[in-house]
Amino acid sequence: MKAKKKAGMILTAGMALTLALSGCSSSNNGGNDTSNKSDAQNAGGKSSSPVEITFWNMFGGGEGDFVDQIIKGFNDSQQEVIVKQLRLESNEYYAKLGTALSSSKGPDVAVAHVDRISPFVKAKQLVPVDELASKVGFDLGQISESNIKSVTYDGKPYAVPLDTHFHMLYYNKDILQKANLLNTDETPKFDDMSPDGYLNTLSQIKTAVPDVQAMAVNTPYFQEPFLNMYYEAGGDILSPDMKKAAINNDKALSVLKFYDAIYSNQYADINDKNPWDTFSNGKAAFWFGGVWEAGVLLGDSAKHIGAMPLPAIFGSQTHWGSSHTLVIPSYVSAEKQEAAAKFMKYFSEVGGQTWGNAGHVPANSKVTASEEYNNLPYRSFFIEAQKTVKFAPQTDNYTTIITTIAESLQNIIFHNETAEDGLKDLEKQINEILAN
Amino acid sequence: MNMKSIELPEKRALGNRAKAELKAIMYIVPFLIPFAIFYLWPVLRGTWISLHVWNIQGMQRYVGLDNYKRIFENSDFYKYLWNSFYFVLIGAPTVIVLGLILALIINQRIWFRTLIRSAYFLPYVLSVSVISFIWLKLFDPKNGPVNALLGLLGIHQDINWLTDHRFVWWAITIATDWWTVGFVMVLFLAGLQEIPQDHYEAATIDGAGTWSKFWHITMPGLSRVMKIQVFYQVISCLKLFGQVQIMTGGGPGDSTNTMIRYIYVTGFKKDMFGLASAQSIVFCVIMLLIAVIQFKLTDRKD
Repeated sequence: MKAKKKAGMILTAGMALTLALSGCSSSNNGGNDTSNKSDAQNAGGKSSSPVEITFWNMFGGGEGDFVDQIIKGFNDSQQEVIVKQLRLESNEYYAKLGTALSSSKGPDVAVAHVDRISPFVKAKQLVPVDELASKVGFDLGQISESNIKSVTYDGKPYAVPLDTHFHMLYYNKDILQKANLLNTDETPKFDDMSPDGYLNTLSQIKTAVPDVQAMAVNTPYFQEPFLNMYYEAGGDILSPDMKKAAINNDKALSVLKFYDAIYSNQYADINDKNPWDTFSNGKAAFWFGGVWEAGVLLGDSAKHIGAMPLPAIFGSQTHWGSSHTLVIPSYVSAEKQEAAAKFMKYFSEVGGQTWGNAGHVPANSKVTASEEYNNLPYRSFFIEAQKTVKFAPQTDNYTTIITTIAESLQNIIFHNETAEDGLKDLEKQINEILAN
Repeated sequence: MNMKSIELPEKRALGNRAKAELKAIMYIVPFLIPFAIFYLWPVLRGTWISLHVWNIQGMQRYVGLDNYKRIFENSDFYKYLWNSFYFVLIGAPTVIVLGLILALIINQRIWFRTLIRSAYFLPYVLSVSVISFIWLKLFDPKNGPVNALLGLLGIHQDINWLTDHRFVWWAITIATDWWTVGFVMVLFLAGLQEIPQDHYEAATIDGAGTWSKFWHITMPGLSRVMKIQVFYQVISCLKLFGQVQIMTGGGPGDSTNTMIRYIYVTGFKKDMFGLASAQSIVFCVIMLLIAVIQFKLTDRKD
């Protein structure tokens, strides 16, 4: 009996210990502890001790490894600044970044999408980067003009754009071969380019290779595949004057019917919570995937994966796009701001090449002009596809609007609402947001 | 004691009384200060925010009770309120019944009693995110152990636990019950040990069976613990958030979106803190009402 009691106690104690330990390690990553420490160190006025800065990002999966490389490269390249990163889950990233910025506690430098920074700039929570850049000898003129324009407010840039990113069509050559849908130059053989034609192709794949998904669809982030096709069809989220929703129309409806057909014919599995892994593991023939997955998907030639710009299924080549930027919160001390600017310079000039390997089209034009970049596989397609991207509407309410869209679309694809009712409801909600 | 204080001159009694009151206040100050800072102040501040349009850029403008009007005009509010209550209806009874059964089993003289008790209690030590990720993996339709086990039992159809309307609430309930049943069990065990053994002995002599002993001795003996359990479980089920946030994201669609997640999404993801504050106040009032009703009901019986 005693022995048993002891065993139970040891088990409990062991469990408690593991919990306590994991608690410790996570708080160390939290950034605040570490940054306080380095504050204390620097208070002595000794310039020899390096400045430690905390870097927040949401890069998971494929891109994450490349960011790790860039950070390591930066930390090894000099002794003045140490970058520590905190990687947050992408779905909740802006909830956390927003809270951090308004409570003045959080990162010293952070990643933000270009379409999300406007409210932060207007709330004066970010610092302009032009002076900082010149202080550390970083020429912002290297950044492509359209990218720098997208982060400029009142004539001042408030972020350093890192890239343009969007989706490509990735395809599994082995599966297409089995379905007899691979051309001799290893590109997919399509039926005529229309929703019905595309569905026909998927049906042929399903018949020939029934144990895989003909197409993996990004159901958890369904707004992305939706917007790609909706933009192709010529749709918009908002009216040109940004005062009304413009999403309740036949174009949106036909795109939703298209995806519904893909799900209901079981070309794609709606229950798949990790479609990106499904495709990467060779269990799906097609995948509308981000360019940021290129490093992983195209880097390993054993996967037999190819890429091409999204086909013009709904008529045009226009498709969704966004851009990652680096921002510095205004609560950061002057010393750390400068340290962060040094990191930005490195990320853009040197890290840009690594970032290009990950798949993003770098915003630094010196990098995109380099031979090294252009020798990467399929990059000519990427530069081609970049020309037809459509960015988010420039509104302070984008965060609210895109969250609303994401939620409504989930309701529609899981049949909690019909597409017609769902779109009507979505239109009403967006109009309410804009009115407030 | 009372007699004595009445005999004292009135003034002195008053002085004594003030002293006693002051002493009492001094005793509660250590609690009162954190309570005021971390509870009262946020509630008051939340109420203040709920009267404004408030976003990441701070206060925008005063709108009076407009936020409250918007809540009640939105059908989503009723849907998600119902979801929260639905979980009370399936979550609270299952965990209480399971906890009671486990407590009854462990209260017997069985082998490895302590080990079993620790094993059932262990999950309760884990945080909600840990248990949610564990069950997220267990419920995976293709590679998850749950479907594999069902396959061994002869059910070969893959059940989409987290994306099928018919199963998703049960998946959440199973995960939550597994997590909290240990705590329920321990409270019931304490209750069981308070019931005097001679009651059972007397009943045995009178020829009572196991069932009637349970029904006439155990259950009445546990009634006080039971009330606390129901009270506690109703509140904790209403507060469901972490499990759905991590396991289903409120899905499929918004089938498992609860009030707390609704408030979270409105505030932190849609950047409408004024509206979210109003929602929290409304939900807080609803929970208070339920607590009061429960209190009254159980009081009357005593």
